Amino acid sequence: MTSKPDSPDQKPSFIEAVRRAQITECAIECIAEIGYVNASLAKIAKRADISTGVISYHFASKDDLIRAVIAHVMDTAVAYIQPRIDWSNPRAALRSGIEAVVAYYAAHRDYSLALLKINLAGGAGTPTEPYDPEIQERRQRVMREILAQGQEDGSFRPFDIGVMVAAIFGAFDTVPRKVAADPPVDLPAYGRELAELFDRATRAD
Amino acid sequence: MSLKKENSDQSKPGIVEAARRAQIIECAIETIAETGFVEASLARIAQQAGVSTGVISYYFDGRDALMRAMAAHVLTTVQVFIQPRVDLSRGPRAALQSALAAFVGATAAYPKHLVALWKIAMAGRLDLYPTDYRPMENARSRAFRNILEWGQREGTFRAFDMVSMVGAIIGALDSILMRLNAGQQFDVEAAGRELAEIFDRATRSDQT
Repeated sequence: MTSKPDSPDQKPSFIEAVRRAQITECAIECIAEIGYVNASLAKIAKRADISTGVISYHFASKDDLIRAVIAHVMDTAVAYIQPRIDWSNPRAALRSGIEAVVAYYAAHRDYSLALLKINLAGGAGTPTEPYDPEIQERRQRVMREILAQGQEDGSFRPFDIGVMVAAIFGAFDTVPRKVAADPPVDLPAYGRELAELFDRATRAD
Repeated sequence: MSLKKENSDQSKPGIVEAARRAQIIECAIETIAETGFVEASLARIAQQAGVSTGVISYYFDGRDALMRAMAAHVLTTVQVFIQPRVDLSRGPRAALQSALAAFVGATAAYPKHLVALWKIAMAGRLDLYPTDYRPMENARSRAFRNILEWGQREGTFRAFDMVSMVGAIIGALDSILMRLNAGQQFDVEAAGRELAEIFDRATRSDQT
């Protein structure tokens, strides 16, 4: 409880960032495998081959760690998706962006499982909310940009962007469940379906 | 733990008792919506209701029983709100639009109720829901699937994948609730109309 270095505002050093990332990855694997409730700090530490004290040094609590997990998944998603967006026009951008989100979850089964398990296990106040406004805002920025561009150049009709984004991200939140589905779902096809859905919902008449 | 008389179906409670039960349930809703499922202890709920914990125990056989009664109450309330608003008389398109407006309307009319219900699910306690609502394919998904299948059979709707469309609709409805829960200010009715437009365009066949 004494000289803790990382309040979120303070930039952690490189080594600290690496350590935090490593712990976060282990937490994801651990949660994906044994569930949110069972994934105690002790179990996560064991998997990372460090002492629980090291985790406590980097994260104030399990909640804090889970928040980092969610932020990590979302940020990795943004990094994966952005280069896959076809910016040739807003309709193409929307379609490719949506398909990339589904492809991202398909490529990161562990992340999908972890998100699902966190969501299903979380109580209130737990970080579970993928609805943390700051993370949401980061996730949604690119999509808002695409929609605004399309409205501006007339390829999209004049809908309410907030509601459209809510609908699109609502649909995205169903993807981890599809990834975990048994029997397996044809994920690329699911991506194309969602893309078609929102192309129709957005395009100008 | 003796002379307990909770059992809503068999022993019909008197008017005073029914009112007291309803009041406790409302306080449970408030408490969960504000503090969360785990934090909403009987003591807190009692405090909110301005009664002693003993009074709650008189009406409900423990916290789970109270939560169960609460979940059932919320679902019935919402159902009573929604059912007359879904217009099945003018074909699948009107049915879909009215159903979306009705669900969004319910979110606006009962935000705390629905947040409390959602927090139970998020706490992994779907077992507290009435049986019909527990599975992933719950009553709400089923209601939309029925309308969508009707439209596809008739050719009013295009041949989209059912799972993704239902998922997108449910996700969109939930995200409206989440935005309310996060304290965002927006015109909920207009959002309902926008969702109706979004899914009308997303579902209708190219001939219509």
